[in-house]
Amino acid sequence: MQDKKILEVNHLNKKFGDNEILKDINGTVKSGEVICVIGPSGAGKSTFLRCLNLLEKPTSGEVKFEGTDLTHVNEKQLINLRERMGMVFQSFNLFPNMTVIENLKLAPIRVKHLKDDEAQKIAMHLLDRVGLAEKANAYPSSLSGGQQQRVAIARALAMNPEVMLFDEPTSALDPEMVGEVLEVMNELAKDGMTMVVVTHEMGFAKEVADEVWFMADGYILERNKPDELFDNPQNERAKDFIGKIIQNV
Amino acid sequence: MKKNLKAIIQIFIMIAAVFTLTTVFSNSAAAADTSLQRVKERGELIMVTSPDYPPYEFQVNKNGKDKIVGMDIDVAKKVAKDLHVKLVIKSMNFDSLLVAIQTGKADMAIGGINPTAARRQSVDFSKIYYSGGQSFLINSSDVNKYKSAKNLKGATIGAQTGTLQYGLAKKKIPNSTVKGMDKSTDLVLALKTHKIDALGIEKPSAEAYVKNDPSLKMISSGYHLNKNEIGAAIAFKKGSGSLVAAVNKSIDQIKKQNLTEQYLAGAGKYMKVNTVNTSMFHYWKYFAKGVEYTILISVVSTFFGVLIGVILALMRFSKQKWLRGLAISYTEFIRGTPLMVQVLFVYFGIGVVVNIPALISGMIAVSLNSGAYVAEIIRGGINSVAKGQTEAAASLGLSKGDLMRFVILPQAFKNIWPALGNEFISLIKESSIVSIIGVTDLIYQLNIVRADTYRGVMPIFVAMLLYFVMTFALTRVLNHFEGKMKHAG
Ligand SMILES: Nc1ncnc2c1ncn2[C@@H]1O[C@H](COP(=O)(O)OP(=O)(O)O)[C@@H](O)[C@H]1O
Ligand SMILES: [Mg+2]
Repeated sequence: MQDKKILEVNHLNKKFGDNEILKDINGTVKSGEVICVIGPSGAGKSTFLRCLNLLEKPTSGEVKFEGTDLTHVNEKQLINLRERMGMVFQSFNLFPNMTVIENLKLAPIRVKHLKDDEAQKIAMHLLDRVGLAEKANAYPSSLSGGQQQRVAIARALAMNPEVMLFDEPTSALDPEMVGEVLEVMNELAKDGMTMVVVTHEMGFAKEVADEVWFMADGYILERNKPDELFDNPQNERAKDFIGKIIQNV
Repeated sequence: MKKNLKAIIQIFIMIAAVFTLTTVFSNSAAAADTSLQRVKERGELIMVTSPDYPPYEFQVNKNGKDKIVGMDIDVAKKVAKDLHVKLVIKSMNFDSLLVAIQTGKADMAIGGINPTAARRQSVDFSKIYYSGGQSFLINSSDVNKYKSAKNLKGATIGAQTGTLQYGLAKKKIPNSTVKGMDKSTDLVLALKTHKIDALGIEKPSAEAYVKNDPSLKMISSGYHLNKNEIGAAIAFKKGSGSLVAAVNKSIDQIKKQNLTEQYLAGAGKYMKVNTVNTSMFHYWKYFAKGVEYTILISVVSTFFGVLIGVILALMRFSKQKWLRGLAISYTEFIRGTPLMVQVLFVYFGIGVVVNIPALISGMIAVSLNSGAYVAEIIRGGINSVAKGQTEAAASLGLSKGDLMRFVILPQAFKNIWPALGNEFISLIKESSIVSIIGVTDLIYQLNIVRADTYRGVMPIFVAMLLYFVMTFALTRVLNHFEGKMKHAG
């Protein structure tokens, strides 16, 4: 594991109108690291994640990806940098007008200008990896939620990203499907993928996270090793929040 | 919002400019009287008329060909012959006749027009070529109730909108309610179904109806009128002195030789032919032609409407503020004005600067109108695609163009298609408005058949059926494609 900084956030601030959602966020994600972000609903976790690939434009502060400040590049450069950051959404966001394999091949062909057979090979390999090779020609609407999310992960991986951002990837799933998605993510982490994951899956966090960041009210109030943070939180809000999720399990 | 307002104001200024231009054009044309010279140089005398007013003018089918005949047509033919030019007949609503000559669509308007003082302010008139007199049509069952016009006090009286009869009934029958309609055929139907008690109409027309329909009777109007209010004259654009003088020579001859009597007798013969066979099947060619034009207008306007709509929708998503503003103002303006006014504006307004034939004017107006609605449908369809789709595409590094082409548009199209289908269907129906400028679509043909057969309801029923067949067929076709799209995920 190298110590190369993949993402670096300095004094990040985000306002929607007069509403300050992110307040002076700082943090670093090194190559191969897995960061889990937890916190109550409305804390600003999604907004934070979306600021990392500039889906949301920060009001002030820096978001550096491999040393380049994304807040100061033009549209074209931003598109180039974004393709190297994969993102997986709570609601999957597969393209319903395309088959599974077409979902995977679109960006490699259109953005990376791969030939069709190259893209096909990569796509099939990834579908195999998430256990859905036989669904290649199915339309997303015919898949279960868990299957759709695995396809969404494969689609992001098809661009061979340096870092993967996950925004509550399992919270829209029926409980029996959470496992299959977490398993894919688990393997990804073990393969050395750099990941920032917004999740409340404590088991997953404990197993693969290098660090857990607790967010509330637009601040990162505590960051620590998962065992420390879950078993012995220092911050009052964190203590309260973890108490609640343990009760719910 | 302010930006929109600015753009809308700009459009108003543009329209005002076009309007001023047209006024200047018409005035400058009036300044030098070249009216006679132009007709002679052209070798054609163009007249407009509203052929639903037997025996003055009406349409018949002779040897399989549509023909406008009647006393007025014979008068116009004589005028053309005396001028040694060819007569060209254009037809449109009575309401539009005077506008048509003012805007240069024709050299003269003829159609039992009474040269009243009010009309003289906006057009020139020839001498009176025929004095018919005013009368009322009533139902035969009412002969005892309405022995003379005096008994009409407080009655409901019908008259063609924009005609002298309308104004007279209002002014001269105490306490009466006057109902105006565009077509004399509608008025006769209204009379027969007792929606009105009497119908103010010129004597020759009344006589024609009475001859053909035993359920109708005629009574004298009892109006004391000056000759301008009973006579029929030919209307010209103001400042056409030379042409009027030439036409007056022909009219002098007509009067001297009492030719109108001969003309009326000729018209009467046509009317007899007309009423022999009033079955709708006999008129299938009229309806076929109407359907043909309605389909033609709808297809062409759908094509250009979609084209304009796509362009407007692209403008709405453009980065350029002024393009967005222009598209918004256009859409708002079109949606905020009736199609009928747009049709009239294209034909008469723009027509002063560039002379566009009625059919093309109709197509342009309907296309421009449909474009605005199609643009809104497309915009709605695009906006209805979930925001997550855009974000997913952006996170994969797709360009805006690819996002549109591969992700948004294919999905939007599924939402757009049914709405677009509705737009096409309403276009078939709404295109009927072009009949007011004389395009021979189904509605226009329907009115011709009604005037021809003296049958009020049956032609309406046939036209209704034909419209339904067209829209129903289109619905099936659209549903077929919609079904196909569902399979594609
Ligand atoms: N596009 C937006 N416009 C306005 N407010 C927003 C927008 N997106 C998020 N917010 C607000 O920001 C706050 C944090 O939202 P979010 O980042 O989604 O929180 P979390 O993911 O932690 O639940 C919420 O109060 C939300 O209403
Ligand atoms: Mg969230």
